[in-house]
Amino acid sequence: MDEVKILPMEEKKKRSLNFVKLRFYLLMVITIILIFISIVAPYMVPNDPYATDIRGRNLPPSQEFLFGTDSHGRCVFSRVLIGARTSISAALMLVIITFVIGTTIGIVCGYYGGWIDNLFMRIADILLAFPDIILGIAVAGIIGGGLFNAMLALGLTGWTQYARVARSNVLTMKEDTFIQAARLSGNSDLRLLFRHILPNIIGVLVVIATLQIGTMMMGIAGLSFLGLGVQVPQAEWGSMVNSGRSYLQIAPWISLFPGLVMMVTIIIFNLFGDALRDFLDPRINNSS
Amino acid sequence: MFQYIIKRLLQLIPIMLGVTLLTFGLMYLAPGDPASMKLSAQGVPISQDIIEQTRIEMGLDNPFVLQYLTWLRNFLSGDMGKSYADHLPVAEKLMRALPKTIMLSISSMMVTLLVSIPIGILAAVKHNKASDYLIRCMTFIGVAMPNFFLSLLLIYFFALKLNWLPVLAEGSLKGLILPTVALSIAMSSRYIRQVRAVVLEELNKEYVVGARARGVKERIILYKNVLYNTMVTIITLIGLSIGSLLGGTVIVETIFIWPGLGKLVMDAIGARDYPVIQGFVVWMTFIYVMVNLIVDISYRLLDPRTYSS
Amino acid sequence: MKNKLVACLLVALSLMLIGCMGANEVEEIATKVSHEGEVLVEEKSLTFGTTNAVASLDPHIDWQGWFSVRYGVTETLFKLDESLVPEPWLAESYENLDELTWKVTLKDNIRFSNGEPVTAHKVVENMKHFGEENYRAAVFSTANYRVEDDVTLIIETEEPHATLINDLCDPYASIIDLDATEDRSMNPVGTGPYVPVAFVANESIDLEKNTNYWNGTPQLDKAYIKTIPDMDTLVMALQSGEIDIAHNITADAVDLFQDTSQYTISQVGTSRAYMLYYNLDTLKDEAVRKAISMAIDKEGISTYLLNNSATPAIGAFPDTMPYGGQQLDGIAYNPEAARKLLEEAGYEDMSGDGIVEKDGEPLSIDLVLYRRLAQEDIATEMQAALKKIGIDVKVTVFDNTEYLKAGEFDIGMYCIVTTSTGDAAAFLNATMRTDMDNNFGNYSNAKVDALLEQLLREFDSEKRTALVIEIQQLALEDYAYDFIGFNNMTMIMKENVKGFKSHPTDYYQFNVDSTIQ
Repeated sequence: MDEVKILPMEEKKKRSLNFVKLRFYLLMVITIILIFISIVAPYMVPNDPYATDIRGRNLPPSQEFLFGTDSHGRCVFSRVLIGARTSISAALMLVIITFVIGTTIGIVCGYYGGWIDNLFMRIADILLAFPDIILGIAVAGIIGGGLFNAMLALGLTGWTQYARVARSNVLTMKEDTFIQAARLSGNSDLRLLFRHILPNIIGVLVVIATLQIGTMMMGIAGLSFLGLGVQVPQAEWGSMVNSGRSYLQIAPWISLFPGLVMMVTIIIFNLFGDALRDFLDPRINNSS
Repeated sequence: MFQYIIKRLLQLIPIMLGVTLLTFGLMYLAPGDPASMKLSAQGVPISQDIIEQTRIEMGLDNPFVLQYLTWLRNFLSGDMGKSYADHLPVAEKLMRALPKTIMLSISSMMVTLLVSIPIGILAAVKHNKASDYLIRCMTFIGVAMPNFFLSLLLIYFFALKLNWLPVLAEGSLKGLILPTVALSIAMSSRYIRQVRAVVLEELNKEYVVGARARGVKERIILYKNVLYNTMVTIITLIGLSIGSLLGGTVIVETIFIWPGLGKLVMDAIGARDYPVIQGFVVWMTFIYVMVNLIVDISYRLLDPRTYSS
Repeated sequence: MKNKLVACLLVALSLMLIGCMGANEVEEIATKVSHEGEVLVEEKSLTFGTTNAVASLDPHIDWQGWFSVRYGVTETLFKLDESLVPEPWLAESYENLDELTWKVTLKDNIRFSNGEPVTAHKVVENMKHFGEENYRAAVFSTANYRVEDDVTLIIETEEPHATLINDLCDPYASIIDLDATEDRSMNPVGTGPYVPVAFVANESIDLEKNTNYWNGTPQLDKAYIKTIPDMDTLVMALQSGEIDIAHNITADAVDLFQDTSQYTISQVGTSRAYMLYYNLDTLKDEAVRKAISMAIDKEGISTYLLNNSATPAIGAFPDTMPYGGQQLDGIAYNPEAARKLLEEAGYEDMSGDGIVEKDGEPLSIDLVLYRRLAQEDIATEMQAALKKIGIDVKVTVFDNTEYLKAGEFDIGMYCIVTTSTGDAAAFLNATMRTDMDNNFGNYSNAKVDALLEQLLREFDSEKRTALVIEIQQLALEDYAYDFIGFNNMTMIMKENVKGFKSHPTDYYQFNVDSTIQ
């Protein structure tokens, strides 16, 4: 059996620090490229993603149609590209909005306490009692489909994570001597919250947010797959996989390509989240 | 301990009340008239009189608070109303589907534990070796693979191309295999990563290093100390992942036609069968909070540190 | 340490216990099936797969009769032939004595599956019962009945009702032995070739042959009806051999069953129309409505997009009917002319965005629909086709048909059986008459209203046919509706399955000759 190699602490830290930095920058570049592609997708599509051709349905991948055509004769490659905009930007927006709202609520609750804290935390308790996308399914299933409703459904529980983490961090920080000192020196609450407390807790929240992007993307795609997300003919990866489901035997490319692209995108966001966490990890940072 | 359980149970009451209010409120806000939805299921002409009459029969003309309180009272006495679609009692429909969902959840959980603990430990022991990289690589893919996409691939290859397993799960043991695999892969990937991290940390702790230096066999170290500490992590993980497991069953059951709660609710959403959706959401939530309670209790039993604090 | 170990064990043990409970239950079911399989070596049985769920077997309520007639459990006095003309079934003949009075004579050898004879008295009881139970059968709740002898009965309606015999073909008019069963939703006693022996709502029906059948010996000993709500799964189950026959298969899936040495395909046109309501309150410009109708490639949609699972339509009824589309003048597909027409009406693309404008307003319309069959596919195609002539279309998909009643649409797509029992009047009256329930686009034409009134009181079938044609033609010329196509139904069975044939009504599939070799 192998021995676990135990490196001298200093050397190990140095090595992993360089690696962590390198990995972080590399993944950041890839992530930025990905987001950039999703933004300029409309100018990159080789074919009109919405133009149908009922006489050219379910064509296999070719030079003209890199990923083949779907059951309406639309270019799957173009639709995957334009779908990137829907899938990625919807997930990003959702994460940003829930992040801002959740963090604000968490900070306010943690700092002031009292009835506000009680109210929001009880609401969060109730929302957290719903397992995963069950509330999303209920909301989207009852209020009706559509991208906005799907996002609303996921956002409804999304903020609670940030609120809880922000709150507990603020609670511990509140008693710190430097905060006490800042307060005694006459800083306003607002200044205290945003100049002194927020910068200290933002790192861990950003890491959560980054790791949430993939989850949200899967959530939106899952709802779309169930027919509770985007509406026809809008291109979105989850609904594209679903619409190709009936053609799995005749034209597998309709489902396969959006599914694979989505998987790769989620992997990239998750890797980036991991890299960011390691990058911000004080255990590694402090040593530098 | 007993006091703790009682306290936790009491805390659940307001939460479950909030859950029921929210669930019921959603139905109330929902667009569309369930009465005519119920009638027009077949897409053939129906008249306004019949719709009106049905609305009154269904109690849809009462104010919100009255509708809620009536519903809650009935709900607590076990009467969850009747399905709009087929007039069967919702409780009966849920009871019939519930064992299937529990079966699927438990089998997925068991497979996950059986797979992830040994593989996670293996990855940690083989830290930074080829097998570790391979395992980590696979887990990244596993976590990022949307369960609906995975399900489609599984059904296509194993049921249709290879014909090893039936297309129609129909609640049979053979039919349980594919949905279980579909749910277990993402979950196992997450567990493997956690187990690996914990074991790695334990292995680097001084007492292990010390034990190894004293010449205690690697296997004994693993069994005695590391495994026990891993258990605590696993319990925490179960608590964290039970939510996404229950959520995942909805999608997977729909694809594999597994006759559980998830499939029931998707059929109900298609038919705007409000009582069934309501019943489903409240039940799922109840299961979730109860499982979490059990997890917390076992966690306290296992780890006296949290107990004393 | 001990405590912790005990706790661990307890958790693991309880998990396993629950797991085993589930497993045991499943094994039990599995052995039951294999036992039956051993006993039934000699018997002929097949499994029929369907996406339709059956909530109750009581034929008199709602639409449940469709299922009991489809699966050969119950039968009606009259039956529709392939062109939806009534012919006697349990009845021997009928006579229309005057506008209000009908005389029906029964066959004298009919028995229920429990051996009881079907008498005129029992038939009258049935009519009263479904008249009460089913709102579509209202005419039977107000009628008076007289029993002449064991096989003859007289029906007197309150108002003249020209389509009474068609109504008796509707599956709700199934004749069952009302006294025989306590729970009609579980096991109604009918006159059909099969008897339900086990029924699980929305999941399965197990049938056995009716040994007392009045019209020959049923060929199958047993049949299992299985509900598989998901079309893709249904198709795969047929491919893997888990079911022997399936109906209402989607067009694209039919391509998987082209091997005739293995499968038989039975296809039939129905009167389920994909239709458009133009909202006359919002789409006031006739030129726009006409241009839209001209831009829809009905032929292409039916042949290519729907892979021949639809037949192009002109009017509300298929060509197999005497008042079908071949009798009407419809508008031809011509996108060039449509563009020109819009231009002449003052719509031109000034902004260069591909969408035409009039008075600076871009021409944008809301197309709404609900999820049913191929409606979403057709809407997607229409959206793309109308964009080509410069019309911007916003598609909204609903789960139900409320949007039509609310009038919040420019074009409403609908999918409806225009003649379920060979009667054209009901659909036209509900859809095209001023202020009627299904006149969602607010169409109002005094002449159409007058003709409809006339139609309801007309008993002569040739005159009725002429009226139905005239009404449709008027509505088409006002560009108030358009009919895109009629859904074709496809039933696919293994090559050794015989005696099943698709019927335009979508019931009557099971019969005395249905068998497996």
